[in-house]
Amino acid sequence: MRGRKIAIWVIIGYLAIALFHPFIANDKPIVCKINERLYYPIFDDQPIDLSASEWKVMALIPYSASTIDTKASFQPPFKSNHILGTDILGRDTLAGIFKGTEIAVKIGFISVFLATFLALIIGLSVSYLKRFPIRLSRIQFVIIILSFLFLVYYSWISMFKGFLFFMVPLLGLLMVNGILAWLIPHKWKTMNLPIDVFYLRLVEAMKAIPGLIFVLMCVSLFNEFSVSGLTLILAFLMWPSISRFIRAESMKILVQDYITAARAYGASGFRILLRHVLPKLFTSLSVIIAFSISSAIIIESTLSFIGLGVPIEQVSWGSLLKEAQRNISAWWLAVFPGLALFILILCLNIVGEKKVVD
Amino acid sequence: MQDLEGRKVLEIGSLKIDFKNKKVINNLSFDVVQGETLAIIGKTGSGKTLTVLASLGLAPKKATVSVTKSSYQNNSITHSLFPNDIAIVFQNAGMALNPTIKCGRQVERVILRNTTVNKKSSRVKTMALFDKVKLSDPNRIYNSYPHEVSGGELQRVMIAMALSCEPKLLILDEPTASLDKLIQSQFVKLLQELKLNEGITILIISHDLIMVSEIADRIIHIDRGEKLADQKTMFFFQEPEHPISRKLIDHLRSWHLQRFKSDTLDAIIYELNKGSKSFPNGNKAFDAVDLVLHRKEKLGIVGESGSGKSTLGRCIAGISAFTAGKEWTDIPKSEIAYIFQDAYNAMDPDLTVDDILNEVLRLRNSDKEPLDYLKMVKLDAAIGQRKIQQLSGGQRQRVNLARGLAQQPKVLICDEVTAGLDLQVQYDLIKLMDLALHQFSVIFISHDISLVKFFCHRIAIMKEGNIVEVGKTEEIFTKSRNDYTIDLINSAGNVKYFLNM
Repeated sequence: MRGRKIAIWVIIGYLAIALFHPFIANDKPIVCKINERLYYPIFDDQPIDLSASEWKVMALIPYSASTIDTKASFQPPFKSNHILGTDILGRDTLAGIFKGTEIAVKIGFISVFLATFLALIIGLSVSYLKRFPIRLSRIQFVIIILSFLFLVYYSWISMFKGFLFFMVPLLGLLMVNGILAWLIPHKWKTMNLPIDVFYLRLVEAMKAIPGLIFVLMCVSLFNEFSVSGLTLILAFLMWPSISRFIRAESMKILVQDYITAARAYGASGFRILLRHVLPKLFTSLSVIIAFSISSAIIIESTLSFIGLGVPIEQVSWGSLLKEAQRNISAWWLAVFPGLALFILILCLNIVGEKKVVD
Repeated sequence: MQDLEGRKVLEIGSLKIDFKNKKVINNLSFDVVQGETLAIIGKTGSGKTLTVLASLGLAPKKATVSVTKSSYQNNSITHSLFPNDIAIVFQNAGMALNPTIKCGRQVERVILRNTTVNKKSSRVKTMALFDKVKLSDPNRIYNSYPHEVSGGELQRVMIAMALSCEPKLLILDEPTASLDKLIQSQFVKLLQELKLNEGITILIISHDLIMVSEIADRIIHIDRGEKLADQKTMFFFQEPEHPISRKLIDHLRSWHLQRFKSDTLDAIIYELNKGSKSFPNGNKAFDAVDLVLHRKEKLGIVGESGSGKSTLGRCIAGISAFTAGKEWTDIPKSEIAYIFQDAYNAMDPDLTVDDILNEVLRLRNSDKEPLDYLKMVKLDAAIGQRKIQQLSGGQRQRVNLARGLAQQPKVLICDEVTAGLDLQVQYDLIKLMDLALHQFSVIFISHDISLVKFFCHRIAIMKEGNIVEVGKTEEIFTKSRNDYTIDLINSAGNVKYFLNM
């Protein structure tokens, strides 16, 4: 129990560093006074002549991750101004770790939250439609499938020329289907709309894609991508497993009597999912979120380590570790970024695992 | 009646149990005499099961137990040396059996482990035991998994297992709690026969006074960890020692001395003509059922489990649909409220009672407050702040009823709303319903005909998906010629000690 509390505080610490690291490690002063005027160089990029300043307040570590200190190349830790040493170009390791934290947190947390959001929408609605299916006649089902195929084919031959090219046939098909649903007599043989089957096949197909290889494919397609690009790709890779988990959990809740009762007294599907199902998912969801974040961070570090991740000028834990590989003697380049990565992953796993035990 | 002056089998002296400084059992001593049937009765949570378990050294680890004397057949009981001839049948037979092993095998395993019988003759012995507990088709039971046999049969399998090592003392914890009334009465007969033929000493833990009155020789009444009464059954029912016991008995007696309802019936508001429900696999829940409901009428539907009465109720409430038949009614389905059997599962565990009622009221565009409905079912306003798992069984069911009323219905369908509650709480709940639901039409579904006896104007008897008999309650009870109805009425049981008053 205590271990979990500590782990949560450590993760909060990482988040704080990711948010506020420009105030801790920066080569620009936080406040300076030039010609009787106060400037905040951290916030604006206007070039100011710092040498003219009367006084200035520097950050705790007066180096950015990209500051090149030509006088201090390959400094070991605790020997100079650089607390954790420098790399071959004279860049501060601690500042680099802080910058790497920002990237790790951005990629790990944002990608998982995007994936969870998508997974919640899809997983919840699929489970609800499996428990309380939409009934429609078989002929209507065939027409819906045909119009879907037509839409795919049409957008393919029109080569996605524009928004209108897609919207006009979509609206047309919706109208045709609506009129047919109204015309077809209710006595005709009906069936349940098999959304769940389609969903499961889709998820299985997605899960068959190996994550790292998919990312490598994207690298070769787009040459180089930004942090947000990598975030989107990781979110795209992670949503199927999360949504399948949500679907299973939600189906367990949807067979309970209180859901039947809620439907009997007139609660809508949206209301049932939001008020009765969603709050019960959070406990078990937090486990899978914690593990997904740690795996996303590991994937990002791996990519940076092999030099394919975020752009080369961005410093991340993986790229710091890569520096260490080139210069074995500079142990501090391997140990400190490695520790930062190790502790974050460990804490995330402790949070997840303790939840499982509870 | 057997000789009660025999030697003492089990003796427990001043038992005390604490849970983290909270006293649960306080200075309780009792003994069991050879050959008698002793019943320990009390409300849910009064500590009856704990008393028996602790006296055999089986109390949970959190509890601190102190006892001055605990001996079985004059030997003191230790945890490591548990006497081989005590058998315990726990409350829920379905949970106590392994679902992946056939019933027969499970009994055999117990025999092989505890006796010197060899593997070949163990099957023969199992069959003999199944015969002894009057299982109708021992071969089928032997080869079925626990989920394939009914609750009554499971209970018998458990008894057979308990009898397999020829116990001197048989302990039954709430043996009839999950059984239908009809099966309960068969079970009581079985126990009486076992007692006569085998001479086993039986210790029953129960809250069901009526069942106890039929088989127990002596009754110990426990309330809040204190022993209130220790009397022979006849005296307990006629002149109870303790005021609380007297209150209990008076309560029971006043219930049994009520009058049948004989109001004239109002206009018909619902009519079902040849209603049927069949499942996709071809099984029929009920078939060609005709039913009529009058305004402000209380209609009881009685039958054993699996007779289709619950499904019928759900279909009338519109939760599931009839597959055939015609309904005539001038009330929309939204004004038929269905009250679920299991109040615990029928309410969202994350919401407070106020939230639950508020949600219904808002969806029904009512300007009333949750408090109005809590008052209607005689609950405090403070209950509104609690969640469903913090309430007692009776309170839960009242909240369930309040939610049904909050739906502003004209008809309420109550599906076994008293199941799983203490007898006294059941009676209280039904009396409350009698007052609160005066203005409504009610369909009350139950397996216990004695519950609907004074509550309903008319009773429909259901068997295997058909209604065998419908009629005014008094006529059903006094004039019925249907064998099944008579069986049901007899199963309800009468406290024989009340009859001569």
